[in-house]
Amino acid sequence: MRFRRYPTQDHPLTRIGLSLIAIGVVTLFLLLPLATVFTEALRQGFAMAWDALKDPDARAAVRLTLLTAAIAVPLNAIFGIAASWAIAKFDFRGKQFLTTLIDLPFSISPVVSGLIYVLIFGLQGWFGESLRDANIKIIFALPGIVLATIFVTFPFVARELIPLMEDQGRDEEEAATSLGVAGNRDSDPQIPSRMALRGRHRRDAPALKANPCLWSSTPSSKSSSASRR
Amino acid sequence: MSLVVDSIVKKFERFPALNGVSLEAPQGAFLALVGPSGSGKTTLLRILGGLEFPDSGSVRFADLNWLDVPARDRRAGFVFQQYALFKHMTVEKNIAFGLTVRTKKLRPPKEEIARRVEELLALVQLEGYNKRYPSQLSGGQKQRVALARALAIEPRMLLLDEPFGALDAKVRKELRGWLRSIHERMGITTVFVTHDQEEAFALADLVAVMNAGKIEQYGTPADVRRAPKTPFVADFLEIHAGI
Ligand SMILES: Nc1ncnc2c1ncn2[C@@H]1O[C@H](COP(=O)(O)OP(=O)(O)OP(=O)(O)O)[C@@H](O)[C@H]1O
Ligand SMILES: [Mg+2]
Repeated sequence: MRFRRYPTQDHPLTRIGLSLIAIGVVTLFLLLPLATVFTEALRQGFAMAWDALKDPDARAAVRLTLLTAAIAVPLNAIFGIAASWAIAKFDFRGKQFLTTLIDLPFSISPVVSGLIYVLIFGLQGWFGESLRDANIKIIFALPGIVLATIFVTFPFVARELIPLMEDQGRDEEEAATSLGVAGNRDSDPQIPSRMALRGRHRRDAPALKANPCLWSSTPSSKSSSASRR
Repeated sequence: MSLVVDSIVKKFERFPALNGVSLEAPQGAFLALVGPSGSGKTTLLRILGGLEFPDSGSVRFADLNWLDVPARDRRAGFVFQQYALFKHMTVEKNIAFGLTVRTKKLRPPKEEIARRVEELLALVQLEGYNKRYPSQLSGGQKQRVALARALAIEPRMLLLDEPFGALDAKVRKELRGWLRSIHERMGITTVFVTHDQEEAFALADLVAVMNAGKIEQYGTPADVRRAPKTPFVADFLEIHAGI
């Protein structure tokens, strides 16, 4: 009786050992930095921290953060949904390529993407002079920050959605079609290759049109290793 | 309104899933497709339902070039092997789905839809299950909801892909007799895929024995039993008769 375990359950020592390691890592790398932020910020009391927030620079920083999020989140939601829909529900040429592109921000160091960003938009970069002549500021300005944020966070939406959509499968959609729902699957059997290029049916034309935006979204000058995996 | 399938070829990549399949069945026939796994039964059924398109060949049904009719307009009631019920909808919503999605012009009034749902629930012997969700049903009950959902659109053709595959022998027998009686009452041309040759022979007017993308033999159960045309058919009957 004492040793009764579920067949899939590990030895108690293994379980305790693994748990301790996990707790240790979480504490060291997640909880401690968080705690430090708060202790440092509140070291001289709430009033002092509150005063610091009144500082125009601090306010501008907060505003900038919120504004960036307000732009990046909806855009990522739209592109992410479009891309995962295309990948999970349709077969088309270049699907594997698209999947790889979506993961790109995870595999490229933000430092490298920042450098590329400078090479493209910086003064010495490809578009540097023409941008300056047109009086458009991208790098070290709001557009640059927004582009960087979008690039770094792009995979999050798609990576969450693709497994979910793939798991749901196409069965229910096919059932709906056979029950008379319009707009599903192209009715023209003669042009499978064109269908493949278009992503098989009309509805994901927008998805594929939206995708070039993924490719042109640009890496950042500001590198935040915190957002890397 | 007979069904004529002529020289259907369907390749996936280069692999031929159907390699010249032809058959004819009169209006209202109950047709069974049997054959080993991978022989192309599901592929043929999906082509009839408009969920897949052949590379060549033709299908005529209801005096129409059936392949030119988009899936949504075929009114082919499809019962999927894995049920494919809408998980987020109650039983009654599932059954009513094919009617509620119609355009305003063709949609029956609310009361009429409700009446029809009740009728169908009675037909599949699931009265009182209106408000259940698919996850709250047993396998056989889900199967019957799937069938009711397919019947709700007053299908011109009923396509069943191993509908009793997941059920135990006793329930299978029950549902089998009951399916046959529904077919007799409604007279819908029905194509039924099964692994189980006993089931096929007990139910169908016509049996097509498939192998590697081809029909080895096609005829009434009695004919096929009496005179297997090829060694494959003889083998197939023998192996399965033993089980
Ligand atoms: N979407 C697909 N892509 C590639 N190959 C496919 C696809 N669908 C089916 N096939 C292949 O076509 C052949 C016929 O498949 P099909 O599903 O029609 O067989 P089946 O007779 O229904 O088999 P089972 O009795 O196991 O359900 C199989 O060899 C299968 O691997
Ligand atoms: Mg099958």
